Amino acid sequence: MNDNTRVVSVPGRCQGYASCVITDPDRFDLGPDGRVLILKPVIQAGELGLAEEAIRACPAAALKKELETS
Amino acid sequence: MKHVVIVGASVAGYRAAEGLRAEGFDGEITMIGAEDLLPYDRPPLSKEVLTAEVLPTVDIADPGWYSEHGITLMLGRPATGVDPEAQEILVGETHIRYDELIIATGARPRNPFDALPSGVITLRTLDDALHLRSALGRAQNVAVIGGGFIGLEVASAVRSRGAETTVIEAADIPLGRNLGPEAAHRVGDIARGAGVHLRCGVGVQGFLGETHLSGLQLSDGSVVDCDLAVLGIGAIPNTEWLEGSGLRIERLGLICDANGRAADRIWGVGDVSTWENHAGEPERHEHWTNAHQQAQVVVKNLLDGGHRRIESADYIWSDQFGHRLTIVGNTSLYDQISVHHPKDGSLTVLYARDGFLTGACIVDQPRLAVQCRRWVAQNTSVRQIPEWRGEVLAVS
Repeated sequence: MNDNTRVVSVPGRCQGYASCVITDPDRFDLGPDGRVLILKPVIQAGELGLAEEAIRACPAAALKKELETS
Repeated sequence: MKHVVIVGASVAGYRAAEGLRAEGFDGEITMIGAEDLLPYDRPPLSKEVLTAEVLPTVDIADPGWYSEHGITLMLGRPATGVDPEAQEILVGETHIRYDELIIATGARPRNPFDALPSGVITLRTLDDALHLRSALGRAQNVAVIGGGFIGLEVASAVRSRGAETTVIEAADIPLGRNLGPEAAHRVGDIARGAGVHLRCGVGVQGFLGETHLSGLQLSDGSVVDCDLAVLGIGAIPNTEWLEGSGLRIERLGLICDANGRAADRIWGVGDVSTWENHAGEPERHEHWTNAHQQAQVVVKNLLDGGHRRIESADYIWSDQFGHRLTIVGNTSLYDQISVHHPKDGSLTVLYARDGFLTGACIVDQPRLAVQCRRWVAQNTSVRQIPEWRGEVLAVS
């Protein structure tokens, strides 16, 4: 059994401000529609700080963490 | 360290509290706010709050977040003084001792008029926004005093509701505080294209109407008819409560060094504060991203005594007339400018100094806006920027 922390976007919230892309560019990008594209949803150990900073940097509160049990 | 007191419960204050907990601080946190409301976001107040059919929530966090994170809230009572020697904050008769103090008391609308008659509104608080939202439901003809971000966003909201609006700007161009003439003229064209009457280079001398507003008297002798007016001509920092504290207060606000320190154990974040920039000059920014970034930097410096500074490029956005306007970095100190204005209505204005990109003004094109934030932060040569094209002008 594995517990994965993932980052997900809240449907309809992203406004394309791209503050997540600036903060954590390996994880986030903007798609052709100007909305967030999550390149790496699973947050590995050691990546949590930066990922959380990116989540907090969103002016639209469009990102959140989720614990996934598999 | 035991007790961090945060004075101010808007985005900068909230981000400081959140950042302290995220960094593992387990001491006491008290947040003092003048308004009797949980921290809320201001950007929507001049946008969705005015236009959405269903009023959107503007709370920054769930109401339960504060108790879950051990934050003591003192709302509805403004702080009235600080004694740095005794390390105490005054809230009326109540003395609160701090180990570290974060000042985040924001700013309030500038108002050069003696009294505002009924029908003239400023826009800063949620209360103001709700008042304006309901007034817009009745207004036929709205005058907007000030062609800055707030003014243009309010004008956009008025147009989307189908009413008439006139924007009166004392300078020759709208957004002149943020943009040079090249970009400002285009932004003005967008507003005009949406049916806004834009009157630049003229001031407002007074208000007309007996019991209710009927018009504005302008400095060129003309009159603008209106049944509602919104005053949006900038903000002044809330520093009066700090007088006599020994802290350095100037017209620009609470003076802080490049790391956010105002004095030993005292920090400033958000609209109330002026930080030393990379050129060693005081600079005040009144934007959401700036408040957020300053809070992040201060929290880390406060916890480990570090000397971090703001490293990322300035970033301002504005949604108006169906377009996203993005301003990155410094758009006022430049010696070369590249203007690209294709037929699709988008706009790219890039600003350079000594051959390096210092700023950008972009209409729509979100991916290019991100790229510009990176280029400016990395001090990129314009030769490496494919978008450096269009009409390139040398500016003396």
